[in-house]
Amino acid sequence: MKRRPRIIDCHAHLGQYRHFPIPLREPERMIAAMDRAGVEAACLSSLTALGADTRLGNTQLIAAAAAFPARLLGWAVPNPHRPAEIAAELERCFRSPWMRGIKLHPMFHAYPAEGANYTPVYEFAQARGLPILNHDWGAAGFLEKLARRYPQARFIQAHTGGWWNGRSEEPYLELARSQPNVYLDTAASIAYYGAFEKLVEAVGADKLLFGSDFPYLDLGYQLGRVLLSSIGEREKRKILGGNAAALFGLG
Amino acid sequence: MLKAKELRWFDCNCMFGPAGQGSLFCFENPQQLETSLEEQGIGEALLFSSLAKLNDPQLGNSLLLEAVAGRAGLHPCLTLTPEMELEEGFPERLLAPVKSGAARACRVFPKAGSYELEPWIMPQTFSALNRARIPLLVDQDTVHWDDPFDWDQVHRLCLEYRDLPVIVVRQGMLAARNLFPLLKRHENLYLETSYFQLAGGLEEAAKRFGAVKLVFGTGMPVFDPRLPIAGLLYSPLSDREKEMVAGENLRALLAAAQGESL
Repeated sequence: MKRRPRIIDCHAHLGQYRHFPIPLREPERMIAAMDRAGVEAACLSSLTALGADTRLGNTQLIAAAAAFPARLLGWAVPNPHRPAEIAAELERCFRSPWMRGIKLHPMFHAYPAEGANYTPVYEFAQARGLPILNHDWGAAGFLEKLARRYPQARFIQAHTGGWWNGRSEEPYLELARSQPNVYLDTAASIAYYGAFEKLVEAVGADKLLFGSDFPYLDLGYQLGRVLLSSIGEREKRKILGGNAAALFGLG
Repeated sequence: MLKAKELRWFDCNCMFGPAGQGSLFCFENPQQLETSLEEQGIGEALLFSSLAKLNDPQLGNSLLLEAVAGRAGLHPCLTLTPEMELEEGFPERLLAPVKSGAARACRVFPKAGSYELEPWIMPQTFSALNRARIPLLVDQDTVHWDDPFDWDQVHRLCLEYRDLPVIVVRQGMLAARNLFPLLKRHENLYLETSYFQLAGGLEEAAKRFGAVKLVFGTGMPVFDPRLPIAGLLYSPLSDREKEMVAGENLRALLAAAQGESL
């Protein structure tokens, strides 16, 4: 009998969002949905931290991760508008054993991806060999420079593996294929028919990470893109959890 | 958990014909369409014509009817535009395919067609469909969940034509704030599920308004059908509710329609 693939969601959230109510905002209900979908672990960033209050959001995330050890992992969120506090806040967050990386969201924080205030983040990630998940790194050329300057850090471009339509020019595909420390995640509400298979062909299964944006988006819908695709079983296992397990240091 | 092949899927949101806008796939003939549906385990589909949406409603409708005539699982859905009811021979000629059963439902594209979806825009057409309970799919060309959608128009349409089953297609998470109050108010309003990806959203909608209000659709061939299929399979809805959403609700709406009375 075929063994079920290990599923680790690299792009999930905790909390409430301004545009619509999120029914599964409590960690208990998130865990129930993860159980139903066969998801072993999800790495979350706090929507509160990406919104009004970075420190409060990170604190809520640390508590949720402690309540569900090894099921809920964490992305620490720095506030680019308070650069002097970034290193200390990241130190505080990473005292939690479940924190796995750093999440940036230039759009929500209204701060440019190329801004100098993110420099302490890159230095922190470089020193600890951490992944950084960014909603959007901006120009692929900018990320390429960063990835070369901070080779111990791992850089994830969110969403691009999800919404790519399978035919447009997308420089991130080649960057992820060629740059060892650059990855793409698959979280996106838009999914074009047939594009996922083309994405795997273009980027390679080693550099793609399953992400869902859960519970902002639905785990079942997002899993369908990968689980029901026509790519090989070995590729599915890497994308669904194998790559993330290696990145997050999960046994 | 039910497996996909245990459900009798009926896709209410599928496009037939050349796309002309560069999507990866289009169904240029019924064989291509049937192959794709079979690959996804979908037995039946309600189809609109890409040509009718993008260029010529009358010609697109005619070609669609011709192309899929006699194919049991493929059900044409007529594209309607306001000028149709100003033409000679209305409503006999326009609605003849619905009266004969060759077409099973109708669809409007107010955004693609640049018109207001108000009760006054096609009053005779809407009244006729209302009397015969022919489902009307409302497509506002939503691609991303924060694309604008005029919910007030849907409200007025449902209010004016209370026996007209109105199915809004490809609505995302914003539906939780905008559509839910309308679902509560209007018995004749339904949500197509292809893009309703809010985590726990199907469960929430079914709990509040009944699974009968949810109608499965894919958005093929532009959008990936595997998301709404997996979304329903992994949802906490009961097996019975999943059967309803996957196909029974749409079959019931089509069975209740009285096209012959037009």
